Amino acid sequence: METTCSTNSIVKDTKRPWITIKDIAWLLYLYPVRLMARISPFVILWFEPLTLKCSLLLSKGIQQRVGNRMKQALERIDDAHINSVVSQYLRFYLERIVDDLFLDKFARQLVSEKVSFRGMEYLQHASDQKRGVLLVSGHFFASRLAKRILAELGFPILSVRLKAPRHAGMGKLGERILQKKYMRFLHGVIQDEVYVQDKDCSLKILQRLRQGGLVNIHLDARFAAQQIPVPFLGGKRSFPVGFLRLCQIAGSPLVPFWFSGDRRQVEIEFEPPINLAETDTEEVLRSLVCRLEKRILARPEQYEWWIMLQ
Amino acid sequence: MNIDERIYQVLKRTFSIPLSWENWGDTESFLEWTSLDSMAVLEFLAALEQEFHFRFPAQDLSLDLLTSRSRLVRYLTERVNEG
Repeated sequence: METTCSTNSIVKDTKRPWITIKDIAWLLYLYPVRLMARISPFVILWFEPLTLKCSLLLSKGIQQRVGNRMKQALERIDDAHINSVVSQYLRFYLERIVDDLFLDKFARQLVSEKVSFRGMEYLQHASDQKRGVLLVSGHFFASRLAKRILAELGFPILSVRLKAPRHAGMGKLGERILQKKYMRFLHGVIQDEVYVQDKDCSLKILQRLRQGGLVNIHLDARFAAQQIPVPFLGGKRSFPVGFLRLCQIAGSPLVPFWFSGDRRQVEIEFEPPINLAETDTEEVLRSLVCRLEKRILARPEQYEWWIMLQ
Repeated sequence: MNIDERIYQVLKRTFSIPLSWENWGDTESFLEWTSLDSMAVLEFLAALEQEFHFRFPAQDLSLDLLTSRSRLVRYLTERVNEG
């Protein structure tokens, strides 16, 4: 089996072009754009609307793919509405890329003026028990902003992430050099994180929970050893169950954690904690997926992972 | 049953591996017997906690400790002696 995998990756690698548009975009972002963001943030923000217009013109393929996935998931939606949602989706996508350059600044501005909380008492109560809290959410654009805001307010959160996801459209240059550079940059942005590939990933999570800390897991993560297929957005998708077992071992409460918005305004919501000791884990997973789906359907333009859905 | 034998039983039980006591012999790393992925490490830890009626404190949770037989035996012996 391993031989087959490695042969496939060699074939894929030789088929991969040396440089693609994505590589050039990464190159620009990681060097001149990042440098400019340090020297004069104003210039980057001034160019942002223009970049969005260019992106809308250059990304017809992506728009079509995202639009088709939305159509499959969102019943009773006409083409005009889909186009508008896809445009908003791309705006959020691009803004998130810019947000990463100024995350601290935006988070601080939001904390002082424009964050609304719901269910903060659930987080506070769960946190007060000193058993750690596992916050379960999904891949929404406001994720990094929401977590940085909470860190500013005294609730630092450990993120669980894939170290080097394989990006479609990436050339050899991107794969061999730029992706590593981008991952280092992203680590600087996210700061507090563990990687799912690491053998001690679960131990580090458990460690944080036993210290009474907070850990965030995205329910719709694609990479997990144990998964269960659950109906999701008009199809069926496999969802990880390992985090539920982790929660049981740690004895930590699990709190659904939702967020939406952008650098202008962010809404953060916590739901009542779920006690896993008394509930069937598969049932909990189905319930969480159902809640995630409702959130996505309410604000489809905010869901980053349309592009990743099969 | 001594600590070493109890760890052997936990490992065998947790991963359902056909590991004889003779083969266990002077094995140092558990990684020789199991492909401990991230979740498997956790299951092993949970099984040890259940067996020894003890909870690993956060600062002691490390992969080195949980995959090294001699370190684990030493550590658990100390904990058991502490009561």
